[in-house]
Amino acid sequence: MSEGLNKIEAQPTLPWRVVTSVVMQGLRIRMGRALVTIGGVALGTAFLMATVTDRIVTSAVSVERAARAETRRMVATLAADTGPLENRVVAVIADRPLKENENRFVAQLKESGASEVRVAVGTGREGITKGVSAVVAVGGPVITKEELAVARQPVVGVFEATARAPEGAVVVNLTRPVPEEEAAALAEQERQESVRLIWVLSVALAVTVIGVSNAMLMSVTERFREIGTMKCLGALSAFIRRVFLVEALIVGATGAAAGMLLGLMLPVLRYAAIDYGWAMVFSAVPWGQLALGGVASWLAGTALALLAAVYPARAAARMVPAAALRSTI
Amino acid sequence: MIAARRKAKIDQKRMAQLLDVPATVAQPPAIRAVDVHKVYRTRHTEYHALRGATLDVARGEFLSIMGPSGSGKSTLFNMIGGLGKPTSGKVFIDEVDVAHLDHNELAWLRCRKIGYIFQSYNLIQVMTCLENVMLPMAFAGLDSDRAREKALLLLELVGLGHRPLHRPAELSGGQQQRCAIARALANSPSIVLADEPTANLDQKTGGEMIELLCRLRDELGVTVISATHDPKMLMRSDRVLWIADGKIVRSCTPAELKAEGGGHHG
Repeated sequence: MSEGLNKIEAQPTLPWRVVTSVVMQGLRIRMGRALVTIGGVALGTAFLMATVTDRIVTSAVSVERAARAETRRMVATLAADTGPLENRVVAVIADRPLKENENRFVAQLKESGASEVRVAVGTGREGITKGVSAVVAVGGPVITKEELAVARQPVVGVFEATARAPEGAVVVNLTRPVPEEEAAALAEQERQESVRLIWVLSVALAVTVIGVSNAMLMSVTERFREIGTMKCLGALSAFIRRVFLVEALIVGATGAAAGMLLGLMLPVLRYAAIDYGWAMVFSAVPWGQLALGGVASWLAGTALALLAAVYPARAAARMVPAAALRSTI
Repeated sequence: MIAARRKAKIDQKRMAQLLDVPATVAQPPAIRAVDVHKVYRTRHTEYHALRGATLDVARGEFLSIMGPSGSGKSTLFNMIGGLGKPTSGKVFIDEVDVAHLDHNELAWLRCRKIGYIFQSYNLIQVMTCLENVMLPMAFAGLDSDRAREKALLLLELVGLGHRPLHRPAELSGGQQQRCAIARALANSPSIVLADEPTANLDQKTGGEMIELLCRLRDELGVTVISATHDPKMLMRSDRVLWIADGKIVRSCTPAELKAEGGGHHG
């Protein structure tokens, strides 16, 4: 080793704070370019989030609609044996808390004109069957002969096969098994739609990554003299790389946040205002799921922007300091 | 900040301390290049940019290098500026053999030992003058309070103390080059490398820049090496080197140059 080597030290690695301040300065001054890149990330993320929102909203709405239709069907099935339910009384005997579809059923009974729906969960079933047009069994209670004897009509609606009705009762099965071919067709349709969606999403996100990468490469080319100068002044390659990565992170997170909000609001507003109505959308949409989708989209958008910056950042870090001496551009 | 500037004017001792003025004792050469060859290889071709260039640059010397394009001038400049390593031969910058340094150590060398001045100033456009001058000190790991104090002193020194917060685009060419000179001096380098520092400036401003470089050499003892074709610059140099075809073909003083009637271009 040479005699002077002992004088050489390692160039210190700068703290992230310095990197970030250099990046923020650049972004502030070159706001126009940053906005273009932010727009690119925002569009890609908006597309992703809009797809997510679309799926969540439409599937929630269709589930809600199916549930409502199914509830109406149940009440109609019951009414087929009891006659119209206007001003009639129905008793509901449950040996467990009511599930959502059963609650909907109770609500629907009232909607259909029933004057009273007596609900007994576990206890308190004494005498509630008096004068009722139908007894509905939720879960697996045993409806006794005595209970049915005081009813106006001996109709027993059951949700599950575990419920027991006495001899001579008219038993109405309220639930129905989903026909196999119908379920299979639904699953197949779902699968095809998923494949198409994944394909379209991948292309859209790849286009975003390439677009952002291209914009960042341009900004590297634009700044090659600046980068060379920084290296002449003692910047390490790692510093240059970090500058571009942090820039991508900031631009990506901002763009992804904007895109996420856009992709959340536009479909929800559209469905609420045009397709399904506000009440339907706001009662059916699982907001927790939507928020989760939003966070995932935001993370995905940010990660994609970061991914897009890997190559440009490496190109910038590899730039030789002598680039600063070139006087063109 | 204003207080710091006021302080700068009165505290000469602090200034000498901060600028790390070297003692004027006999010292080894600032730069020594011995039989330097540089070959650029592409897949199919080889290009010999330097074919055995040898030179010594004394501490505190004001040296000008001339040569037509393609002569190897830029390559020699890169070699003695720590921007690249020779294919063969030795380059010592401030007694350090460049060949033994890795990327990190080369960055350290560029940061501490050499100040660069460019033809087109190369200030970071998004930063103010002050931040430009502080940048090399940040790279050197200096805390920002000290860096700011020293940067303001340096801007004062080059005659730009009144506009530290302007961005390069708001300054004239001469002012930008002043700022660049202040930046080159940020880490008290022993060598200042100037690549055609007056080429983009008018006669008068170019002359001021030459005076400034001479003053820095005299006051701070820095070695100034410049690639130039500016006759004014050549006349103020201690020595002029000609490079042609990858070798140093002639070394003379401005007096000798004048005797020939000047204007000799390799």
